[in-house]
Amino acid sequence: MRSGSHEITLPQDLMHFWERVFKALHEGRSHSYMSHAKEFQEQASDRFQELGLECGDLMEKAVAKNDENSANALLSMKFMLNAAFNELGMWIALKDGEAEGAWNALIVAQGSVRCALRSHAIGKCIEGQANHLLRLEDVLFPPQVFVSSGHVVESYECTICDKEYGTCGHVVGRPYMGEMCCRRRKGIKSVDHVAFVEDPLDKRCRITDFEQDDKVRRDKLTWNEVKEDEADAEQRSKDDAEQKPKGDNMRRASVCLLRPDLEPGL
Amino acid sequence: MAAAPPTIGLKPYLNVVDRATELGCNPPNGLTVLPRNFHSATSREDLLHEDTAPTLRALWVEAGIAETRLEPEGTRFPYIEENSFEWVGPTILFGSAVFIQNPHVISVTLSVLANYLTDYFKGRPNPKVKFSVVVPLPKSKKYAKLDYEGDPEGIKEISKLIKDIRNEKRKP
Repeated sequence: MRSGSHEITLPQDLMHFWERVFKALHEGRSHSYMSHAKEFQEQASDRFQELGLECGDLMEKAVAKNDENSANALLSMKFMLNAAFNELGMWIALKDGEAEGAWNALIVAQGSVRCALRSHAIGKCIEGQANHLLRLEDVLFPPQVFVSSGHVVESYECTICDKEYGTCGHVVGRPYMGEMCCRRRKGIKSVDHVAFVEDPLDKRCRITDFEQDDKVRRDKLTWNEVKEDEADAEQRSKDDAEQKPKGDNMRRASVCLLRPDLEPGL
Repeated sequence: MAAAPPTIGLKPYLNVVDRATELGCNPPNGLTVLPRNFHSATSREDLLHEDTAPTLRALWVEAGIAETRLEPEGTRFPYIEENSFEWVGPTILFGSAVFIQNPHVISVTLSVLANYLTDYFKGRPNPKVKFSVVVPLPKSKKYAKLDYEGDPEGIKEISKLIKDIRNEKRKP
């Protein structure tokens, strides 16, 4: 099987599995439309989950045989299946009126595609998905305001060997025997700043709702009115007493602490 | 929309050896990672590395490139972590020993970084990379700083600029 300019070399039984995964991905993608019935999307999602579990079993065998090429190829397939699962999950969530769930599923799908590309050359076959998912972001959702926090961290540990990251030779974002190298924070000393950024590491970290001039707070995805809670009412009284200027006050934001399920290796 | 072409700013920089000594650090003269606030910190305890510094070090370990650390033995500088997709790298010092003993390490170091970043940005359009390089000026105790901003593809231009600086064809 060709993937870009590289001939993919895998053991025969793994090639058979890859053909099944490829077929499932292709079939699943044929349901990646708002207009397709939810039941087909759910069936395809179930199929992705089943193959994902099979992937895990095969990976254990590849690791036991010390077959890094196979283990990394299976890692890539796992990410491809996760991307496809979340892409369909986005459509299902939109149909269920769960805009935030849909947004989060899309972002996880984007991250999974990038991980699939980094894991093994086999990932190249879904390279086009990366752009497709970015286009969906622009077309299906209103522009978002992203928030990112900067932290001071004591040190990092490598998740492959548990040694101090930077000393062991493992590189974050690279696969090693079917596992993506990540870094584990050891001690967040302080939060240095919170900032609005154009391109955050995690696009799930964003302003979720904001208050307009008429004091109505609206959800940034759905435009639905968001009811004020007690803490916000207290803050509003305080702001009014201090005569703070009115305007687009973005009172709420989810603060970014990178979540491991998005994109291992960042 | 096409990405903006890379830019490499060039300006004078402080004497790295003197500054390191002032801060109670190992005076660097080989390949070294400089902390973000190396020029402005009031004490060694204030020094902060970019959170990408250990990745750079990991790449060097993998490639068999030796680093002379600023940090005294047993000391570790904490890291400042930004959670943006823009890759903000640390300042890389190519000290005088590099030019005397092993000048090819410059192109190898930059090439290793460029390859890593090409991989890092797979699936993401408009890659943005920012980092700096410091080199000693020839026949002088002065230093120059190159501030790179652009995509991974443009990193290879830095080697040429360093050569021009060392041959006195370019000055900060």
